[in-house]
Amino acid sequence: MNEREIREVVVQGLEAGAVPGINRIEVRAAFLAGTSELPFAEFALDSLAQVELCIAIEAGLRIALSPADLRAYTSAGELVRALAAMRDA
Amino acid sequence: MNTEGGHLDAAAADTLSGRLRRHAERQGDVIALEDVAGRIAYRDLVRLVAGVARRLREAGVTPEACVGLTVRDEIDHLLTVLALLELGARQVVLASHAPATARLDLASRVGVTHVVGDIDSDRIAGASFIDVGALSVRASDDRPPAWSPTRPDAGALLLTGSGTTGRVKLLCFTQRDLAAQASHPPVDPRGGRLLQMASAEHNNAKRMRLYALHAGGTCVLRSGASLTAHGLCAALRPTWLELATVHAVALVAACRVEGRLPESTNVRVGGSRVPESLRRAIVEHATPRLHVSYGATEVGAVGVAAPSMHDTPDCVGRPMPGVEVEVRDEHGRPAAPGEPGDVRIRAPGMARTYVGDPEATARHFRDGWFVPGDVGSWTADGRLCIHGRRDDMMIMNGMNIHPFEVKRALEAHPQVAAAAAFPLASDVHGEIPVAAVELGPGATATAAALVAWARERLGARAPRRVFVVDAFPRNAAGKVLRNALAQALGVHVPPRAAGLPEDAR
Repeated sequence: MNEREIREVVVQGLEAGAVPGINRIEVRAAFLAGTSELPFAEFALDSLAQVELCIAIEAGLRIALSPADLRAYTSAGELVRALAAMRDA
Repeated sequence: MNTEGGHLDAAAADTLSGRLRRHAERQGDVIALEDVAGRIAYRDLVRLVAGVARRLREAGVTPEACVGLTVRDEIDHLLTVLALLELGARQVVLASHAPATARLDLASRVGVTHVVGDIDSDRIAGASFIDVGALSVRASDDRPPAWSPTRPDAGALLLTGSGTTGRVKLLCFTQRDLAAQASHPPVDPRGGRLLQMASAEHNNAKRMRLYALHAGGTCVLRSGASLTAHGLCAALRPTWLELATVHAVALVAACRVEGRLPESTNVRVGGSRVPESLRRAIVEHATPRLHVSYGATEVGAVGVAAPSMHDTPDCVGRPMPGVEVEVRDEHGRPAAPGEPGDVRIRAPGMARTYVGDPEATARHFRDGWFVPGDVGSWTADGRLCIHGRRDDMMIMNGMNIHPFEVKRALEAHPQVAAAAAFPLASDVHGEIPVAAVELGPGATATAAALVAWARERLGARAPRRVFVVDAFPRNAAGKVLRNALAQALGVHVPPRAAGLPEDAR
């Protein structure tokens, strides 16, 4: 699975959590292209959205994270790179 | 019948509304609701509830009304729930996180006449909309509480259960049912401070709050605070922290970094099977005061394993006082200790039927018992153990999801020829629903588009991943072999689902 596909999994998780803004085409396109980081501080990632993101990651990548684990990352881009490293490990 | 300003008669005295009034008279200074922003004592609670009830009446809500709630704030939500109970109107949550189509479907099934909502998009076609802001829920009301007649035996609270036929099952409880259920709560709320991590929009989390208020305890509420369970415990000092498994996993992670919970905090985990590894992790990193509960929307709380009971795998304690549990073997006889069998339950205030679903009613309510479809056993000293489900229900974070509803939603897509759903085993979430589809000739639908399609129809019950395959493995009769399909896709199904039933085609 390449980085683009991991980004798609993360986008699906953010959509499932109804994270405001993720449905905007330009926001999604920039993130999928790797030109945007999507800092979590700029998104309302509430507890439900965190759970949904973890579920999407586990369903899509078979990597089990809890919502508390997400606090180690400041942006969706940083999370994607960490997930890629976990899959390679 | 009650009269304004008068004493409660016996029938109303044990309703939730009646109990709140009694608490206001006898322990008015005790805190009923508390969040990081403030506190509401029982004396003030009944005045606030009476004010909301009065404004709901002015907005046209009568005891014959059915009111949908899309109210996100915990305190606004609970005050509106209590006001509607006082009015005697039926109520159902149209959850803010559910897709608009699912909210509309549920509203039309139960005949919603009014919607109390936060924002314009909470409106439902054909129902009067009441902006929660117009109810002035937190407004001080100096007029004495107008004690309206309650209807203890009228349907009051509609709750959603699992969906076995593509639509969620519905249960309707009266005020008297709720009071009876409150007589066997999973924890004793008297004098306690209960913090539920799940939102009040969630069926059982709402009921636990109502049980606590019935007993005169204090509901400690998140109310949008961004604090974790660990942070909330430090800030609000609950005596009981009530969690689903997903919250418990997060709590363990937080405690590894931030230290153990305060000495005064007990933890109760319920909603789905709690694996031994999670029990051990909670005890090791969070608190030794771990309680694991078992119950169902249909019957309320059934049992709770105390901290001393976790050496027995799957133990959920002894049945609560007033609750009867039987484990029956394959011949319908009481199972011997240690012998797995089918669980059936009788409990005060239990449901007797699913609303508008005679087929599911016949399957799960038999001879006065509720038959949940769980497999259990007794220990030699009378403790109940729950090992899993007899059927292929998936349980994710305490939410029951039947494969059939996922299959049906996907097969409604014009390009899908056939669909099958199965659980992906998860240590964090229990089971994650996933699905596979065969597409029709010339179809171009992508997996992502099908996930979005299902999410629009099923909301949180949607499959989180869809696999598009050329052809399902089938037996000679044409039935889909879901276990073989899951194996071919590399999906690790939970051990109890390793023998997934074949899919009828």
